[in-house]
Amino acid sequence: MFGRILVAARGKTAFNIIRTCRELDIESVAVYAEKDRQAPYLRLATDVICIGPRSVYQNESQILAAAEIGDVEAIHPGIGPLAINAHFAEICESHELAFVGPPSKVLARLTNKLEARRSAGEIDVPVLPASEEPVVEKSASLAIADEIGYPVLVRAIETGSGFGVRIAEDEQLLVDALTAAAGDLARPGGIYLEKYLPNARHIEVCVIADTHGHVVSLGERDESLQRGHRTLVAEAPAPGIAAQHSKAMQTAAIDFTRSLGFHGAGSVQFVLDGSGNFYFCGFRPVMTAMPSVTEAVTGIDMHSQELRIASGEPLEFSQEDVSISGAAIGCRITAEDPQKRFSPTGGTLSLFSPPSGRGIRVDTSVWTGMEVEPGAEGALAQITAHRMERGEAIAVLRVALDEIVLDGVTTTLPLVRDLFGHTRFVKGEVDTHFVEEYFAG
Amino acid sequence: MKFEFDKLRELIRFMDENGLVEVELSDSSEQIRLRRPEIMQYEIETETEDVKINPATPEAASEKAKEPAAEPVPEPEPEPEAVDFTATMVGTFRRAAPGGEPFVEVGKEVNPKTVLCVIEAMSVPNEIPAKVSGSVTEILAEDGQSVEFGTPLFRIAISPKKG
Repeated sequence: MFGRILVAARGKTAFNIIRTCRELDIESVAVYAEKDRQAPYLRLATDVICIGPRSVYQNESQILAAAEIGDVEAIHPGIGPLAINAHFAEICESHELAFVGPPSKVLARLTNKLEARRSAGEIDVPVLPASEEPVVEKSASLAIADEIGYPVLVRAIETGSGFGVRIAEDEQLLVDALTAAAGDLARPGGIYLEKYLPNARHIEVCVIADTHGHVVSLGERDESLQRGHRTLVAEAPAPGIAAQHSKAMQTAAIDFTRSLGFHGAGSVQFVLDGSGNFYFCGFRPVMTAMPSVTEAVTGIDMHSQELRIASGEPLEFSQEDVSISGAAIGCRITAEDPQKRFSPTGGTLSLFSPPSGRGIRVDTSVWTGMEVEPGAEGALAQITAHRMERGEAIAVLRVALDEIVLDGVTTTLPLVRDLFGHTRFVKGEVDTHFVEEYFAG
Repeated sequence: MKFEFDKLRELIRFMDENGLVEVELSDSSEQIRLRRPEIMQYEIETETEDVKINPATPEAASEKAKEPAAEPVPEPEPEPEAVDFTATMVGTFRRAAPGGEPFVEVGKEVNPKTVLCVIEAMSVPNEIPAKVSGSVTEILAEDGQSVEFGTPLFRIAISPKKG
């Protein structure tokens, strides 16, 4: 295991990594931007290095310089853009710094969704019909869409390109979407079309793989409650899924991960229709943004596993050792105004008081008096409830959401409180359209 | 031209993350050109520049004021403004090139182009110019010390502007 690592992350991810380091007796060197000087986790790191005034967490040269003066063996790139930056991973490799994540070559291949689809297809993991090549020309695109059948998704080929996915229900809407995406067509990677399944659920299987060829599934999660393709709610295990469908998805996820030569923590994403048919829709080569639900039901600390893996140790457990216990539901509260199409909000967080009590986990790095900069924070807080029964978990989570105080900044808290009171959620009958329909009336 | 605000916001974030001051995107149907206002430009510059300048702390200034008190001055001359010259990059502070004499000593008069020191990062020596005119009154970092963004390196008494 490493003796000393650089934590190139911020917010609650940095907090969780530093926590794990302390538990495992690993020294942590945290890099930070001057504007984040007061972040509470910086007090828990062994050493801290300020690498710039702001927006520094993707500054490759400063992070590498910090790794050098910090005298570390490894860099943890967090779970953001740096973690899927194959170029950065390659530089780490060439400087004999361990990159906590997959090998750069695997990463380069995985951030391309068409490549990932091909890899899935090769080992007979079901995929949805799609254009096999990037679409560049409008008339050709319309022909492909006709073949696939509407509705279709207009998706960026490169993960993390920042291109928002668009849904086109018919030819006219596709023309509109392609026109709106005109600038993106020329971007590296480009866009492609994929069949869209309405009323489907978004299911992710968390996988963890070591450098010795062991791949283990940590079970599936339902992340159907999304807004703008960002997860609002994660739930493990996914409610109401037949055991054989869950098993089939996990087997497919393990096969897929193994076929890539991937190591580290990742998520294989599927869409699941009402009849139990599932289709591969993507692979996230980094730890999920809401590991708490999976960690709750498996009892496994995913950060400690990824550090072990990066240091070359084999996984401490096999698939047989993983058992799912109880039900966990987590939600994110962000500084966005649900009444104004989720536009980013900011201001002084005049009072922050987290919930507590039985079965509640709070992941946060905000504090009373903090200046929240619009658009700069991910989630202000993630609240996860874990109980033996799903109904209990919902009840505990609802109480926790009544307890939390986030004064001074407009947040998604009222919306999140509402969602958990909704009959369809309580019954476990939500799909990826739920949030949209909720706002439609 | 049809603007899409999500796209613009995305572009602004892209500029911010990559330290760009100006971005131009065009294709057959549309053209977008974004340029940051000056204040933002300053922030960007400090990220790529080698040094930034902070006014010295009040305590430091008063400490300094005590030193030349030995000779009574008939008329209090305007105190030269002292600034802390801080690192804006991470690396190892070197007062001299390998085997060479230190670039500056206390008392050295410097102009904006005078090299004060080297900050070495990933084996690359980066020469750090003074950016201001004045005289070095104190050397605040040790040779070979690791420095981060904001580490004070020198204190410089700024020369009064001529004219």
